Amino acid sequence: MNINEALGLEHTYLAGEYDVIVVGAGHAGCEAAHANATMGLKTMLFTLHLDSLANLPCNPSIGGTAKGQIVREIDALGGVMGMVADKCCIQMRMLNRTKGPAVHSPRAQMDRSKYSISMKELLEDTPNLDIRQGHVTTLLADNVDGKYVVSGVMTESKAVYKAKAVVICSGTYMESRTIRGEVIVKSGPDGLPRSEGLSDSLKGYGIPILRFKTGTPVRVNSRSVDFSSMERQEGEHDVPPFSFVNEMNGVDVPQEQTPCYSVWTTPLTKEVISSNMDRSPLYSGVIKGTGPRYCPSIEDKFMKFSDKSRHQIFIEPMGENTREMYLQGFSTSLPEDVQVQMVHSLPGLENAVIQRSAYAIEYDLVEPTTLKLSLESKIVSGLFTAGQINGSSGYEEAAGQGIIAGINAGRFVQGKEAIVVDRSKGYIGVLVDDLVTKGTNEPYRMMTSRAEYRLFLRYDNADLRLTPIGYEAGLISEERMNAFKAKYEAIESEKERLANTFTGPTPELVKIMEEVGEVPPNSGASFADLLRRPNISYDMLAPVDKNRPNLTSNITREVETDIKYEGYLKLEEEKIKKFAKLERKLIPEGTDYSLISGLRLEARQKLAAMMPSSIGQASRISGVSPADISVLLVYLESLKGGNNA
Amino acid sequence: MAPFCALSTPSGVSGIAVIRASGEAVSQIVSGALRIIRASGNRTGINLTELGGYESCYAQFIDPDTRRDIDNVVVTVFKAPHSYTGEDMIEISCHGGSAVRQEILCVLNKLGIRPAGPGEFTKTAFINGKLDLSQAEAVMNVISADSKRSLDAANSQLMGALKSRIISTEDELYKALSLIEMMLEFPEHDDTPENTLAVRNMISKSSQELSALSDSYARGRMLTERMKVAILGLPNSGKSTLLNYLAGFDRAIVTDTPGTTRDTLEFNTDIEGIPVTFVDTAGIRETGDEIEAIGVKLAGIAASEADLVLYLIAPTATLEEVQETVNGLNCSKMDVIFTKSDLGSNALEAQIKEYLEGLGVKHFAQVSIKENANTEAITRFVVDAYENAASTNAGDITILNSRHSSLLGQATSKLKSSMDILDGCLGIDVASQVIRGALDDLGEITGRVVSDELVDTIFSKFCIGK
Repeated sequence: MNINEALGLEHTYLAGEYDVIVVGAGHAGCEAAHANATMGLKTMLFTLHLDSLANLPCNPSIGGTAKGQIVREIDALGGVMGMVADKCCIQMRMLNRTKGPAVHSPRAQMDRSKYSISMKELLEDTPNLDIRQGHVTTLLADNVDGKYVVSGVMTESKAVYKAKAVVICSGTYMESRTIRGEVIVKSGPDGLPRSEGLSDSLKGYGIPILRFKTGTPVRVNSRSVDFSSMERQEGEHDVPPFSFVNEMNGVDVPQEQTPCYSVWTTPLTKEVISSNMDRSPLYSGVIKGTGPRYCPSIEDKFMKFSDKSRHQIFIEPMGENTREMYLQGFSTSLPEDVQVQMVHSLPGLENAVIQRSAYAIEYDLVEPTTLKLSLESKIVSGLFTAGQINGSSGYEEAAGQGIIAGINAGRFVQGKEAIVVDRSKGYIGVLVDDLVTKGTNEPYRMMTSRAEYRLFLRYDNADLRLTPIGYEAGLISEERMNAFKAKYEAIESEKERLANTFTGPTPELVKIMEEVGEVPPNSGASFADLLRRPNISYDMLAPVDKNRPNLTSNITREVETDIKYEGYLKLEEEKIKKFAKLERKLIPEGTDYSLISGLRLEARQKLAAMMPSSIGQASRISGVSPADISVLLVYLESLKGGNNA
Repeated sequence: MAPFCALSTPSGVSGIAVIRASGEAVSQIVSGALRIIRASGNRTGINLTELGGYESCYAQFIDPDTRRDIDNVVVTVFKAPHSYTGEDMIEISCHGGSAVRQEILCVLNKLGIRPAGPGEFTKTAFINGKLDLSQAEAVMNVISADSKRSLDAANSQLMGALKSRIISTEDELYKALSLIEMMLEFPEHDDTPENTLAVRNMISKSSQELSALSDSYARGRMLTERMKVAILGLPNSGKSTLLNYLAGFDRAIVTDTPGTTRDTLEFNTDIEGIPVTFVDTAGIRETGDEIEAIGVKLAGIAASEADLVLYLIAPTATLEEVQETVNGLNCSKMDVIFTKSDLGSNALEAQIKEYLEGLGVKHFAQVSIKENANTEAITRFVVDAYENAASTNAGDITILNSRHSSLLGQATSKLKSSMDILDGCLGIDVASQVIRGALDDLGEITGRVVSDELVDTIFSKFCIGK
């Protein structure tokens, strides 16, 4: 349907005209809308319910392995998740501290309602941005020479809006239904209204629609829980904030932190679950959507990992001004009455009062392989999608796509070339490339092992990797860019100073080294050499490194990592160079794969369907073998040489 | 693809030669130059295009312009995709004279079948999915294999034995990696020290397997590039006599005058299936003769390049002479032969032996070529040196390609360093990256990692025709 057809319908009216319209104000939508408005574009953000903007309907935490890195990346690009998370943090930890810098991952517990209110406030204060509660049911597009081009949206209330680009971030709301045992409700998460009609509207343009499933556990009132026998997990104070702006201004994580707790399931838990499996919609076939393997429901854990007799459950606070607690690891779609028995089987929760039930939720999404690396649809020009609608899972993954879709929708309107974060630049790049190149058959969660260049994709250097890109997009202020440059100049000059400052085996140094089991050097050694010893830290050397400049821990941390892992980082850089070479080998648009002899049929079909932009992207398409890539390389060579392949 | 052709047998004189052509409609094109006398199924009076795959015919090969006979040939037809390249192919077996071969190739070119580029048959086969990279490389070794053992090793590689061996190690490493990743991704859950130990054991096992494979190239190199055995010794210790004995004819001039051999002389032979080049050298001594001095220097070089040095000692040699001449030689790859045992044994044999054993020489023998006494010791020394060049842990697989060996070596050292990292405190994330690097190396052999340079380098190394 196009604008004129929409306006020709009964009771419709032209309600406004925007550069970019963002549909859905979850984590993806908020980033996209903020990015567009900041780029100076007239932007509208629609939400089904204004009080649930940037909702955290599942676990009340942001960050974690790989996800913490993504939050830092979003912030480096000029996004808002990090800022708001820092503001609403009630507990902060650094995961994997003992396991090497690449997997150090910050994770924070959020005050859930504060997060939503803070994000709303931030967006309400953003110039060029309108926010409106409304239910978008139809995507409007013109058919230009057989190709669809976005022209606007229409809401349930018959309002027609014109737009040059539309970003849809529908989360788990499209045609969703929640399931608790036999009880199935047409509803969004948290009892919120669902999105109806939009999915059909997309289907009408030929966009393939898939269906996934996810779930969330029960919430209990802490007053009814006995924490005395539980393992208590305190927050940490030496974790840097998510946002580089806070880092720059010296704003630390809060001193007052709320603890989390953990318990193990009991034999009774297992018994309750097993004896009620016949009522599980997962096993009876009621749920048809595909659920995530890495975040299984508790009944799945017991069924699939039957060798494990017990599972760990974390009990996390939902905020400072509420007694609601979240049971992480206890998601289920079993009926409500069974849920009560399950919760009461846990030690300390025998008398727990449930405030919200657990449920599974099914929702519609688009086939992500119909997207370009810019997150624009290959089918409808000017349509962008981000977040769970693309098959991902998690707030951070959604927000990461949101900012990319936002930047590129903006650049589409500005007539500029799309910005692509590649796999060597960030987890966001890995995420987008995986989704659009390989597709996914379950909600996609980011993991550090998905990244080839993990040692380089650290939380501490996210700004180094991505701030220049955010600046290019127009999301980073001059002031911040200057601070960024100053930080990296300080890092470089400190690295140089350490490499060129030497010390002999003075008694003081010998004492420091022997204390940690390191053999002191025989003669003079540079501080950089000493730092390369596994057990020596930058801070340890302070007493013997007299002329050390006064630097913040954010700077010294990176200096230390860069020096300590120099050899490995160099290897990684070599690999990145090799990777970049294949990424730069572009495949001409409109390449007719049926003319390339030697390609296997499967590869030919996959390549024709996916239209990869480079040899690098082509090599990651499933069903395209290394031999096919050799053929493509030979073909590209032959194009250069002017003879036929 | 446009058809191309090349001679696929070696270019020297041979009884018959085989010329291959590959490409679309190749039978039809070549049929213009053939008068078929008799074809498979005893058919006569037919055209080449009427032959099916794997059928052949006896025919006169003619120049279609002059109608002149060039040669009587046998032509075998292969139909796509059931051919080496995966395209339509023919093979022409003709007589081995170089003039005949040249004329046939000229006629084919005239008919529009262009000469093949380097490695083009194999490249085409690779592109059509007939070969993976390791198989493609092995093809080259098949061609240059000039002895039975090389052929066996190359064949087993061709059959993908190497690949399947590496893939099973890869699988083990992927298993180890997944354990590491589990610890990294879910730090709050499955972090147990037992896992680290399991990972370490898996990596250690894989590392040993790969290292054995890599080491087997010590033998593979001898098979593809020939084993070099240098014959050294004092002047007139019987070196040339030994070479002539091995050759079975007088390859070297033998006189009683010390210093007769001045240049190094080489002879290729086959010892129990091992292709061996024996190098006869000038006797090592201080000499005022300029030419002889150069010969002595060359002998030193030959010894350093050799896989095995046979050091010959005549009955008349003194301990001092031996001490002076072995000075500077690598004794670890040296076997010692007391020659001319028909003239009686060396009076100082016990002392000389003790001295040389001190330098690391392990094998000694008394031999008389003249009386053919104990000459089998020479064969035994050669075979032992070949066998001992690598441990037998690689089983029946011998790496024939230096690139494979160095990739396996790199992978091994990465795995070793990953174990050091696991033992130390650099972090298991670093260890994981290093293990991935090792997998990248392995992937370069199995073809699982693509780099365009690699494809180009390999194909430019191929000789024309196959």
